[in-house]
Amino acid sequence: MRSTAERVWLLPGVLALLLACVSVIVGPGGLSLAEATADLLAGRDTVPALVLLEIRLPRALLGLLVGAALGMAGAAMQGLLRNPLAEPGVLGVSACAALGAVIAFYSGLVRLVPAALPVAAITGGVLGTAALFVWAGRGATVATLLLVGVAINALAGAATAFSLALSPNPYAFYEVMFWLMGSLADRSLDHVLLALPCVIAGAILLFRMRGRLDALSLGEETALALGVAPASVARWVGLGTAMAVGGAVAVSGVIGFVGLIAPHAVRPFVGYRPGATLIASAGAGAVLTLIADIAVRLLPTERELQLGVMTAMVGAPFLGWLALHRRQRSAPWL
Amino acid sequence: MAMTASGLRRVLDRRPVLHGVSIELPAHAVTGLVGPNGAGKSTLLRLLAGIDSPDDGGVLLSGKPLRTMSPMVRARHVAYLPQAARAQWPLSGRDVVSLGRMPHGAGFDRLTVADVEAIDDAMQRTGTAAFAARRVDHLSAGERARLLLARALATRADVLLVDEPTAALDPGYQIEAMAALRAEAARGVAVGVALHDLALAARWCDRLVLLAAGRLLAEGPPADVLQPDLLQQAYGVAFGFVEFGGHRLPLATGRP
Amino acid sequence: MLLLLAIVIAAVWPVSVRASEPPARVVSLNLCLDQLALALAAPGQLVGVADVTQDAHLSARWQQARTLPAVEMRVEEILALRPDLVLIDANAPAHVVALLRRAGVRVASVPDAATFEQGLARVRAVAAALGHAEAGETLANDMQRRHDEIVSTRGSGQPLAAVWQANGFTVGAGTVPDDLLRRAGFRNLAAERGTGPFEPLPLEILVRAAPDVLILDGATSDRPSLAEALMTHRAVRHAFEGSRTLVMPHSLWLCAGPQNLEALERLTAAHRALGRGS
Repeated sequence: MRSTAERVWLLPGVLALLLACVSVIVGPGGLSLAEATADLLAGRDTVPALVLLEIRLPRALLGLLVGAALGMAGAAMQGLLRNPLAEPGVLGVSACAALGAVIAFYSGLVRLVPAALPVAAITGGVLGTAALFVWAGRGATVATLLLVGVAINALAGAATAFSLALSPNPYAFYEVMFWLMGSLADRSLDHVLLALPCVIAGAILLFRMRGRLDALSLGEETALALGVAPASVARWVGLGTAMAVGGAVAVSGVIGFVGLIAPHAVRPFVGYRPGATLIASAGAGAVLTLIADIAVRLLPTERELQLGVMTAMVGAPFLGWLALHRRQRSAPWL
Repeated sequence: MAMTASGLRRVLDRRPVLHGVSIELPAHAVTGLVGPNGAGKSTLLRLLAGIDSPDDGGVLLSGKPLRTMSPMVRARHVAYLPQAARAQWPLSGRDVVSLGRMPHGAGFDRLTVADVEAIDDAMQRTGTAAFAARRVDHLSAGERARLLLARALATRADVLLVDEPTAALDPGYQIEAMAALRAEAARGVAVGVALHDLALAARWCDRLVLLAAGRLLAEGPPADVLQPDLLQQAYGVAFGFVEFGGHRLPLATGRP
Repeated sequence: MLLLLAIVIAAVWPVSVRASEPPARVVSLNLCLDQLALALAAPGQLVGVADVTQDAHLSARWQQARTLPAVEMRVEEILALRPDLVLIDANAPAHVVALLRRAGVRVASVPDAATFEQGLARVRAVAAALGHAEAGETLANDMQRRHDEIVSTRGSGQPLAAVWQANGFTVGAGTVPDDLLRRAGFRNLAAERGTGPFEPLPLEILVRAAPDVLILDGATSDRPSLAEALMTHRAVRHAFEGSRTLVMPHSLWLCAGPQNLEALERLTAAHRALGRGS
């Protein structure tokens, strides 16, 4: 019973891979890709090969990875809460993950155990998600959820700035920018390796929940009648979201609004099915993140713009547009 | 497969809602749950559907305790259509109905031949086949209600529990919905339906259960349950009766 | 009667110091001026320095600075020290300067120094303001002499140097480090690329330019920061595994002053070593 139309969720993924290739090409200029690739394949340890492998490639891979994690997490949260404004960035889950990462990093723990960085970020994400679900409740109205999310976001952001101010390192305080308005600049393959297992584990958890998210589309009572326990779905989705987002935030800082825009962008093309949205949104999230990350390198700004600034400049007006259209068209899924 | 409930007690928010209710839902029959607002009809249905657990008493499905079944197995045997069900996303009509196949392991993109057949059949019987490709938000409230009923039918469960399926419907659709439930009973399903409309209950149900203030007042054929004194005890108003098509239909006449 | 009036006025009015007379209480509010003032002031003459001057990573005279009260750029705090001279740089906030002047405090604004020569002029200017012009002359002449000695020992050739600071920043033309690099015989990568005084240098550019010497601009703390974590990026480690790196403490070349001579010594030593290597 499969048709080509049902494969439509694969499309954003394909587009994301193409953009990742573009991302490798974009840089301060002058790198001969052919030469770099040839050197790399021949195992020659030349400067072009080094730039390609250790600077350009990690950035493109992280664009894919972080974007997919955020897109998928946004779709999962929207599906679970049946709330179109749910998103790890807006609701403070990312900020809590950043707080976890900041504490682990600036305390010096990460120097001893590098894996402490994503683990702490995931822990922060789990606590943030739990606070959100407990505080607002799963059946919360759009407004309640948003208010609670804003509170958590502000609290986590303030706690991050506070922890950074406690560090005796003079640079630490100015790095609040990175953690609250993320970036993919000058990341290395080490960062890819840190984030990859977390994002994959989170994505697998979320992917396994896709049928149960579909079952929730007629409300929690009907889901229960269909043999799906919403409370357990909430736990698994919460954990999956925290793992994917935590892994991403640990290496990129908070990149907001990707998880908000991506699901909305793909939903009409997958018949508004929450499960299919999950997969398509992962691809769309990667596409959005890569486009934004390419844009910050091409824009003629004095200094390279933070990626989180770029996504917020697009995402915040989108949030406003959503709010307006929900009211005007009384369409609860907008 | 018949369903029996014995001594069901349920306390919600420290307020007792059901005080030891025992009823039976036989196969091949439509059992109507009637009673005034707050009598405990919806709570009873949720306990029978197994999505809520009683504080005391238990529900047996062909002699097997419902609580020992895994949620998925239970959902295959017992279909439940809550009153407040509402599509949260603008899914297609067909997607809404196919959710009913989920307890059988189906997903939107994983439907077996049996799933497809059950979905088509359920849509046929509720007159919703024309909505298959339309978005639920583009349908009228009545059309949506029928689609949700089709979702419950598509499960092809042994027990079908429906909470106020006719509330939002025009009279024509009310009759259609009740006819669909009767057809289910005719196939051997044990149907339980909570109804507000006593005339509808008198005409379409094989058996009635009259609840008031969390207690069972009467259980049996409509003619036995819809007695003036029982109804007045349950609803606190006097009832008169009109004869129509071999049924005695109760009508509230006023305070005694 | 007149005498009494004069006493009252003197008590209420801040004492106006004539320029020829050395000021008794001096507050300095700029990291670079502070270090010069610490070198040139008579014992007890300096009564307050900027708080950053007490930071070991930024200041060459942090130990001496810690014997004095730290002052932030707040008028009340400055006035509490009852200064009769305040040393500021050209970038001091105008409202602070105006308030100080209204309170009757003499404010001496010393021009910026972005080269070693301008540093000498600054030494003389600070010394004059403190009323020790001849001490300034001596220090400046001494600095010039040491400079000439050091520069005469440098090797031949013009190798390429890149300065790499935390956060991927570099120093371009119009800075003391750039000036010192050229005096030691180096070309500065950032200056050749037209980078501004303090701007980020894309990691990729740095790796591809393959400079002969990479100058890591001082570790600032034993606690971690992302800024410094970047210095250990795999690409940097790979690219500069074999090549020469030099760690330059921030405090030696952030400001123009006598501490620059040690920076210059380290740079010329690196230059000589490169010359021998090739």
